[in-house]
Amino acid sequence: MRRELSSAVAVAALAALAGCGPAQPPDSLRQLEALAGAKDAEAAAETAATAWAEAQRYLALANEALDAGDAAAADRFSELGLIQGKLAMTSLREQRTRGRLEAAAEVESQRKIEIERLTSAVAAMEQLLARDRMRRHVEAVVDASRRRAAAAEEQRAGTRPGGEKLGEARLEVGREMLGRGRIEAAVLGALAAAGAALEEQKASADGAIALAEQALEREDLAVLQERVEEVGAGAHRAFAWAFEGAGATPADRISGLVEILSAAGFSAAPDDYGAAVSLSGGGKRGKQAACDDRLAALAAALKDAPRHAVVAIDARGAHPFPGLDEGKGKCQVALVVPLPVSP
Amino acid sequence: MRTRIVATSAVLAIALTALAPAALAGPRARRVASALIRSESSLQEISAAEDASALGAELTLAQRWLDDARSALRDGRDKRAEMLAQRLDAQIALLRAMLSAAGAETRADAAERAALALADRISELETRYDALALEARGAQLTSAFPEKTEATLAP
Repeated sequence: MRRELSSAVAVAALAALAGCGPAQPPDSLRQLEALAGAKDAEAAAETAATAWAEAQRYLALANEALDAGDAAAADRFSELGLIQGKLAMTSLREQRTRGRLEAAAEVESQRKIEIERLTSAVAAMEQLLARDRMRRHVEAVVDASRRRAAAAEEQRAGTRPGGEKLGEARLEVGREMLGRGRIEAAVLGALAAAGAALEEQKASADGAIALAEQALEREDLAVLQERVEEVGAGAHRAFAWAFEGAGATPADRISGLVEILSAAGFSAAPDDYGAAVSLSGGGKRGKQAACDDRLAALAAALKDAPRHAVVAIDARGAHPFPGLDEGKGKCQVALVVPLPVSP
Repeated sequence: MRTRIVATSAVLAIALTALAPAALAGPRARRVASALIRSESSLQEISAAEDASALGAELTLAQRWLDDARSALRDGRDKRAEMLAQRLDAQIALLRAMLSAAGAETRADAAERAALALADRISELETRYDALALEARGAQLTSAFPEKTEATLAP
């Protein structure tokens, strides 16, 4: 019994002795020391000098408290030091992030400039190619028209002195306009070339071309459409004349125009045309207004679809376009002809 | 003015009654109680922030310290409550700094994503330009066509 008691006393004494020894450093102090020795410590000290200095001060205080055997005070100081140390590290992280943000913003800005430049270059290139494509097609139309006019002249050889010369003159107008980039006017010129092979069409063709040119100068598409109609009618009369001797029907005349357009690479079948619109139909009241509306719509469509050409023809009641005032006398038809993408 | 002071004191008294009825009379308890009310309000504001999810354990720690400080104040351990309130104050500064850093990271990430998307667009435009240039060469265009590097081009 006595021995047991002595052992218990000895254990208690040992325990008391252990309590009086140097205090164990708390976890918070270890963490603070690790933070103070981290690889970014120097950078954090530069970025957030005040917070870092506070962390160092608390670290010193914690060590002092530990040396004095006050583990609780050491923990308290370490906790405060840790917060300040983390604050400094967070400031460093934010500074680096801001650097990243600035770099990204700079790259973004440069790329936007690059995109603007490329977009502009691509647009210019597309325009160049589109003009080239149009140029080739119009040249083809001019050639086809010239061939058609020549064929007509051959059929009527000797009956219309000077007709061929007039046709060539109109072709020259077409070429000249083509050279000036007046694509639409060149189409008109080409069509007029066919029409103006007739001596009696000279005045109307000349007038129509002159007005079309003026409209182009003013970029007045609505007026241009009216001239297109006029020239188209002239073209029709030329075809009528050209096919008259061969006993061609009005439908044949339309086909003649379609043939020319097809030869130039336009859509081959009438059904493939973007639109075929009746413009007038026999003088009924209100018809002209409706016709004007349609012309205006066509003009607007042409603005949005630069790869389409609009031609108007006088179908005289017979044409291959179903549903367009069939059998009701004179009928003018506008064709919106899509230009093919490749020649 | 007097009415305002009376009203403020009344609010403070109610708060102190809730926090530390035993230490209501002590100036330290009064000071700590006020500090804890401010800290609680700050923590609510921080918790509701858009990037609060980035705060993680630090926010939990702050909330625990707030609870501990309240308990200490209720038990009359003013000194302990004051120590926790001080620590909480520093922790709130840390949380605010973390929120600011998280916001900056969100913006930086967005800017980097935007820059990447622009790089894709540049690549698309270059491909398109190269295809057009090939077509132009194939068509034997006589007119000089615009270079990729030209900033502005006449229509």
